[in-house]
Amino acid sequence: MQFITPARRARLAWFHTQAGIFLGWLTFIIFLAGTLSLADVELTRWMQPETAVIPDGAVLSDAALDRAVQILREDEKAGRPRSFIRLPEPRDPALHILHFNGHAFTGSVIDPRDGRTVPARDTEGGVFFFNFHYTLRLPYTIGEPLVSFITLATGLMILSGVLLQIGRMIPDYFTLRLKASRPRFLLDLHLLSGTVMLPFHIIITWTGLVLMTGNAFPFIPVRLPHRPPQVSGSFVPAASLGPVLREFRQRSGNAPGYIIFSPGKITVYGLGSGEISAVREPLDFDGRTGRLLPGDTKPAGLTDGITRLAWGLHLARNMGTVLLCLWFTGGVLSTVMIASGLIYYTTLRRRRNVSSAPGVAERLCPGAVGGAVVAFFVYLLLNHTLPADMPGRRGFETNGFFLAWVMCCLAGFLPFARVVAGRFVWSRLVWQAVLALAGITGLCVVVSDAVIVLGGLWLHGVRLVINGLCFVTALSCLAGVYGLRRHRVS
Amino acid sequence: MMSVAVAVLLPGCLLWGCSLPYVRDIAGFSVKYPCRRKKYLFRLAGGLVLLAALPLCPAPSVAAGIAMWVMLISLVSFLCALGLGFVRAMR
Amino acid sequence: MRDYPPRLVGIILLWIALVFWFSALRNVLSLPDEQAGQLCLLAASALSAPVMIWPFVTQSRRLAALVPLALVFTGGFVLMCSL
Repeated sequence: MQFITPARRARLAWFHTQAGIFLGWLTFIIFLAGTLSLADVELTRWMQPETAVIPDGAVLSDAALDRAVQILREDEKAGRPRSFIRLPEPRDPALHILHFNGHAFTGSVIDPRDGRTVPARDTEGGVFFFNFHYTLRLPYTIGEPLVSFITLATGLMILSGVLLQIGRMIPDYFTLRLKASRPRFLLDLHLLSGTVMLPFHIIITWTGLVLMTGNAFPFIPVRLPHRPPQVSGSFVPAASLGPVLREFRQRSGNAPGYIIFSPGKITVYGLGSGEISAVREPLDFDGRTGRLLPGDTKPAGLTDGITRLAWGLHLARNMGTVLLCLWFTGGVLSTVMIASGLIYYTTLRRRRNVSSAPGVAERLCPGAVGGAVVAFFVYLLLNHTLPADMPGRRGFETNGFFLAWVMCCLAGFLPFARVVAGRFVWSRLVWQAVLALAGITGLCVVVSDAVIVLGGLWLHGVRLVINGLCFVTALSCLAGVYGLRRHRVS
Repeated sequence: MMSVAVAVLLPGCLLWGCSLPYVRDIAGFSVKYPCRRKKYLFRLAGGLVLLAALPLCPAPSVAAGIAMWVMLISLVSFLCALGLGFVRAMR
Repeated sequence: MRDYPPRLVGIILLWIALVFWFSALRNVLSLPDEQAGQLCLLAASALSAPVMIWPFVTQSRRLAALVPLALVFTGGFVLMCSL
């Protein structure tokens, strides 16, 4: 007996398209921001060109650690928020003193060799996308439940899509008709990116749900985790951090990654070396003497292990360069899958009913999808073009990102677009305008980086890769403008 | 090690691909080729090559190795599809 | 078109049923609190998509709403008993 009957297929198709058209926009944003946040460390390095003076593999000195403690002490005296230390790692050789500003972790950058403060420009860097990924830049109480709800819906959309295509999954696996009409090409792209990366889509959605599951499934009665009583006192340790880190290395066998401070206690978290699991057992040290404190020696259970693996698979912090690059590619293809699905649906509607006025979805599509690329490039461009010591520049960057996006979304609703272009080519013209804007802004980003970072530093791997990706994306957008000219209007 | 892994991955994907109608179309085979038995033979051979090459994955842990292999297969398949799409568009 | 609203309601009811049933399960399990919570969260997140798509898979639209409703009531009852 056939499982997917025509009636069942029709119901699933309705659910898939309706859920996609209502939630696909936010899903697209979440996947795009998530993909970019995989490279958040590299993006922050790119956005703080002043840190390029620190060579890769710079050795952490005790002088740098002492300087970090001195800054922590000054911050505490000045009543600034509590900070923690991020130590140099293979992806970023700088030493950071970070605090949470309500949306992202920002703070001073220190040269690990001599403890000199690097005058890096004030920016949220790649962490902006990390926060945007799971809160949509909304207050936490709204953003996190909303994203977990969308993650639940994404799981349903993926499952309904798989059920819809289950019979055709293998034949469609290698089908991409580049010269077919636009809807056919978009559907091919949607199916192909959905099918080849299906394991990734499932892994990333399920692990995302595991991360957000407290919001997705608010179990009753909500038992708050046992919190130790608040201890008052100074967070700044009296003990020197150098010997503490040496003992941490010796005891755990891992390189230290983060140091977090609480009154009378120093907690050091290790970095994994190529393991997927996200959380490593921290070691606690006495804040006054620097001696190791007795910790919880209970071995982690199976559920604990699965949860850590799920977190590690989603956060992609410890998985090594090769797997991180593959994860990034997977994220790009997930974003392409959602974008192609959204564009396909709106294009299909136009094809079915060419005489009707464009609907909200069709008007929104070029700005929401193509405008995201424009906004990303504007964010990078503002970072490089605003004066480095400008007060409040961080806010200008993030506001510029959203402003560019909103402007692109509004472009579809401008009345002149319909009057000038007529109803048949309206959508194509808006698409061409948005893609051209993205292409030009992208090229400006690459040029601005070449102008700002002189002296051959742009030949550094991180800058070269990010500039290369920006250049390829910009060229692809410009190629899209040309390609749309040749495409048959649907 | 990575290049060896990818070198094994490619014939595995191609073997699997030979069972697909779209690839047959590109390669100029007749629609009837391969027969049902050959089709599954190609899939089995391709699948076995991909599985046998799994230990070649230069990953520090089993979980990382499986994740890397799945992603590599997906990526190579996507690139194959893109390449075949271009071949078809050029013809 | 009128076939779909009960099915959408069914999806929401199934979500509530999942919350109720797994809350009850967590209270009943004889594991330490943290482990039981983790186990339930892992299971609920893994089961959510296959369970919540059911209203759109089943043939009858009446069943698509009534079965989830029954699951919500029974889940609520079991939860009350487990508290």
